Amino acid sequence: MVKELSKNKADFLQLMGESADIKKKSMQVGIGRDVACFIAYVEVTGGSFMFENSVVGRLLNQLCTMDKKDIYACLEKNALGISDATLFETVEEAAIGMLTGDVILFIDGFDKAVKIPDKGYPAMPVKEPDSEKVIRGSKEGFADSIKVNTALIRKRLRTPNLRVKEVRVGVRSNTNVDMVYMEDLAEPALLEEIERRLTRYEIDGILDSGMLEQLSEEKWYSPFPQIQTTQRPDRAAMAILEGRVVVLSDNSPTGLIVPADYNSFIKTSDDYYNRWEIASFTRFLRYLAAFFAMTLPGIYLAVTNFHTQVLPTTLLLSFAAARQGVPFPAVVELLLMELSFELLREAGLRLPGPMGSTIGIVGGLIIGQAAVEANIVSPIVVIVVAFTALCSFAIPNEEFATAFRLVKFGFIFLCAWLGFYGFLYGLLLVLIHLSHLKSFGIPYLMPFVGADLSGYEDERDSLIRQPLFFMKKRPIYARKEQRTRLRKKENHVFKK
Amino acid sequence: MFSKNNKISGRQIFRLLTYDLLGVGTLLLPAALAKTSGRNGMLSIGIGIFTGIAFTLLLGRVIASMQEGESYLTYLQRCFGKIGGKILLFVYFIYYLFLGGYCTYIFGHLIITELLKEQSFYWICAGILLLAVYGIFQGIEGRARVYEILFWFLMIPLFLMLFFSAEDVEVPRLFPLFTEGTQNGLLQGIYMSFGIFSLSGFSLFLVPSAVNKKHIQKACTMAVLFCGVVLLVLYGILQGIFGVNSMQTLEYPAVTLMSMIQIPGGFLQRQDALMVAIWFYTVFALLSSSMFYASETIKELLLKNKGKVGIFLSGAALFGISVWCYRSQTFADRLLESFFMVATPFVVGIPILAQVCLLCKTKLKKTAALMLSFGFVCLLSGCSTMELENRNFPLAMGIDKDDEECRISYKFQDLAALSGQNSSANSGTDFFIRDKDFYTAMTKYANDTNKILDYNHMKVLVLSKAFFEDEKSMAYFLEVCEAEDLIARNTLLFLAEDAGEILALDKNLDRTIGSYLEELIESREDYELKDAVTLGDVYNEKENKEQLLLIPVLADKGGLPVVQSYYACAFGETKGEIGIEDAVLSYLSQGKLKKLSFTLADGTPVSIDRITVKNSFSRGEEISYHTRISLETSVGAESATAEKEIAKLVENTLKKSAQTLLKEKGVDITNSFYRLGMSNREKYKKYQNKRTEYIGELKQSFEVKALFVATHP
Repeated sequence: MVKELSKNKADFLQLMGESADIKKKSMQVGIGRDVACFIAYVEVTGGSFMFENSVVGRLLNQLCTMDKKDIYACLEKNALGISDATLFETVEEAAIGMLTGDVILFIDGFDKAVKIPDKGYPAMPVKEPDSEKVIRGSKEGFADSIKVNTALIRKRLRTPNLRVKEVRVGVRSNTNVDMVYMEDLAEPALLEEIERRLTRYEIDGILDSGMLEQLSEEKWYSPFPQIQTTQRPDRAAMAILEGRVVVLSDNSPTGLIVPADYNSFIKTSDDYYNRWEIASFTRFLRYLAAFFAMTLPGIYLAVTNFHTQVLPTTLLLSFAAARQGVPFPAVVELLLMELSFELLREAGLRLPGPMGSTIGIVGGLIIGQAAVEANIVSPIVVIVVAFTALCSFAIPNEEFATAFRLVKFGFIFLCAWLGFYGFLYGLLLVLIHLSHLKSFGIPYLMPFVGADLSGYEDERDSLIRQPLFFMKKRPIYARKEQRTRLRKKENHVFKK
Repeated sequence: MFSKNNKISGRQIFRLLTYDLLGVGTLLLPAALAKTSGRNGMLSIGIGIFTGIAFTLLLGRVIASMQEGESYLTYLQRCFGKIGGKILLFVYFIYYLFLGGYCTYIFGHLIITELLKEQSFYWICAGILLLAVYGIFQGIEGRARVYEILFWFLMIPLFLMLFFSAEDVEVPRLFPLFTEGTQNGLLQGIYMSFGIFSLSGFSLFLVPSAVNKKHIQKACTMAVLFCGVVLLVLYGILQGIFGVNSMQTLEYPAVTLMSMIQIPGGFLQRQDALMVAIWFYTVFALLSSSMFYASETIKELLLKNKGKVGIFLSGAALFGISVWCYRSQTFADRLLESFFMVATPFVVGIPILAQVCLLCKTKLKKTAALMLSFGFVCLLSGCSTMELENRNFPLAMGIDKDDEECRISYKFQDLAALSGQNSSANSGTDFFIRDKDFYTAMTKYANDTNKILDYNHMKVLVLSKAFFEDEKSMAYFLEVCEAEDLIARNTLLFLAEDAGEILALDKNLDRTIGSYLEELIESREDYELKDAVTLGDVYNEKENKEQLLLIPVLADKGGLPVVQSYYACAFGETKGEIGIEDAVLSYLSQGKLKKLSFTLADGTPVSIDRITVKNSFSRGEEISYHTRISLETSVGAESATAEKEIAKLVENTLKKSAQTLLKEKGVDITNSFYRLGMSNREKYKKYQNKRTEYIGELKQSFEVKALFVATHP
């Protein structure tokens, strides 16, 4: 940039082109109104500058009381104490600074542009997340603004060791992506690997963290997510304390947590806020739910079409009686119901709030009941499908639950074709697949496999969540020399 | 990043080896040991465990002598020279191919006999080999993780099943030792057990993959010990439930056992289909391991940079060998024999010779050792899918013999009545078939109706006495049932004059006759359901010929089926009907009776319970069997006279019944021969094949002690 305003202004206007939403205003400041200036901002990110309650307004008012020399000195030294004022030395930087939602000020005779925060882009406020609901614990969820999100994490981890590393991804979107981690806990190699994966593609734009997630995954063909997502700052803070890294993307209320394993998808925040017995019981239920969400329809087909000897006679006869008059084979009947359920789910999700729940009730109760009465499906299939759906809802992570819902169809086909053999075959296939999956070097099935890597300490927080005072070590994600997270104070004296 | 890729821990090695040993061990060893070692099978396994552990110690020495990062091939080359090492590795390659092929055959055979009876063997094998190829592509670390995670998911159900089956073990069947078979049989059994444990030789190939090679030997020893103990317990249970003779005729006794175990609560009717999962995963582990080592050895020998080609080639070879085994039983038998006769000595001999070679310093000695090793080896060279509505579930089946023809009656549950549609008064539906024999009649059903028969839920089997007494028809029936695996072993057995007529009484009942008769036995207060005669007992007695079976005989009494008498079947032979009172006394003398009620001469009702029975054989030359019974009674005047009177009455009735039946029908109500083996080995040996003489010389005595207890309100 040069000292002549006209040149800087011309360069800036040429770079930005004709855009109706970019507001450009020329003004005169200084005690004698003899200093020309030029401000630019995206419409709605700037307020009414003449009002005292606007940062830019107060700045302009102050500049009107100074002479030329003082103006330059004041801007150079940020003497007005604007917290987030930034000086740019090139027009390109200034333009990008403006596009982040701030106001850019050019002053004649000053060879830098000043970025001044004002209203910024409109964004959703902090509110309770729609997913990952907890009974006990914070109700705050991530917002759209990356700055708000990093602040929500820092609010929970008030330590100088918390680091936020920012990279820009997206050639046209220039999306800010922050890696939030604890410097003394996170493995440096992990940080390097995350940065490498975040920046290894040139892409037009990153509009949500989901795009980053897909670009960073190792095994793209796997239905199982290899990166954990969260909308909860407390969950993110907990992951950071474990030595993991949280990746936040601007305009996305969903943070990514890496590395991730099977166990981490089953955990919820309140697992650690509740007593260990309750937490262990509910976690065990979730594991069972995950298993049945994937296999129950297949098991039903295997035992009714192939291995009837497994069921008690009375139950089997009830099944057989219920199927009297149903026109479809069991597998078609099951697929019809499963697809109907998926359809209802999708329809309920897309419809506006109150209508969404209505469609669930209409679909689940009325259509289901009518289908049974019309003998299109048997009541037992409705029970199986409903129970499977219930199981999939019990899985706390939506992406993870979706993987089970997809794999379920594989099991339906295998079991309809090969009975219990198909079930065992499918289970082995899934196990082999999962056993080879890794998330940033961590085996996906940790700590059920390779627990020796952490001296079997990670098993304390797996199927059973042991009492907090037994969980003295951090999981395998943290640096080896920084594994201790809980110890008794040396000078502590117990009172009788 | 953090995990050591392609490295496996001690725990993973232990679990990997346990799977390798346990699958074929539990499937093949029990039947094989029953044939060679008989009742000494447990002893064979016990000694086999020690030999197996000794072998793992040898493996530990070999592993310790391997240099850091050295593979088994390099080690063999260091011991036997470059060419010698390669030749030995090639032999290993052949060994793993045949082992893997045989495992694939066992796997396919197990699936088509236990899970998918009408599925193609070829497709089953091809499918599982494809899955194995996929697993191997990902390296050993992934494979080890699969077995690590599955370990307790399979072991806990297995242990539970063993635990639940333990209460059905009849201890006399475990004794006496050293009576059947020869010393050679025992040695053969030990060698076979060792043959299974020698599969731990896989561990030599694991050295480069282990996180710490020092953990390998410990993992091997633990795996041998773990599998050994499981095999020992399993064999004991199998022997105690089936008896050694019956075990010999079963293809996979462990799988058959799973079909008989009743889990408390009764949520699952039969678990065999579910428990096949244990063998599905364990046999898969061994075939996958064999394929992996075969592909690794061929990669080392020929395909340096073409590992994937080696995996596919090994997979194709395994498929070929499994098909060969399937098409030729002789080849499969020879192959199994070769594993014990050739492969086991090879797997054991090479590490020993390698150790010898390392001790030899000069090249000449190395060559001599190599030649010795080859000499050593040369010397030793010597269910289709069917919808529920397309099946009929007979809950009871009756078989009659009519004019040299077989008449089968079925009783089904009326599903329409169950679902409330077209509810009819009758709760069951009937079907009759008649043909020249059981098999022809049975197969006719599928042609005559639009449904197939699913016998899996059959509660009771009612045979006419004429059919049961006709040895030829009965033998044929049992043969067909066993070969086709038609009827569950725990199906209750009844006899009747006319089985069809008994089943026809269904119309008078509020449930099907199958459920009614099952409840008739279940609800008895005097003896337990497990003591009722099942089809499995008849199978076992056909081979073991050592027990007395008392089969209830049904008759029509006022339109209801009731037990009219019992049919005695001793040592596999029919002995005719005996009265209900005699049968009750038989149960009493065997300690199977829980409760007994009767009236004294003066009309006083007596109830006795808490019955304990002790039996013993006398020490002399004669066969004298003494039964001492203690019981508690709670009715009548509280006096020593009443106690004595009751005791005397029971004792006299027992004596009279026992002597009459022994004399007239040759039936020993105390079932003493069954316990002879446990009490007196010499006498058992003497009468082992002379049951008739035993009955002729048997002298029975009884002693009853009654104790009065107060009747509390």
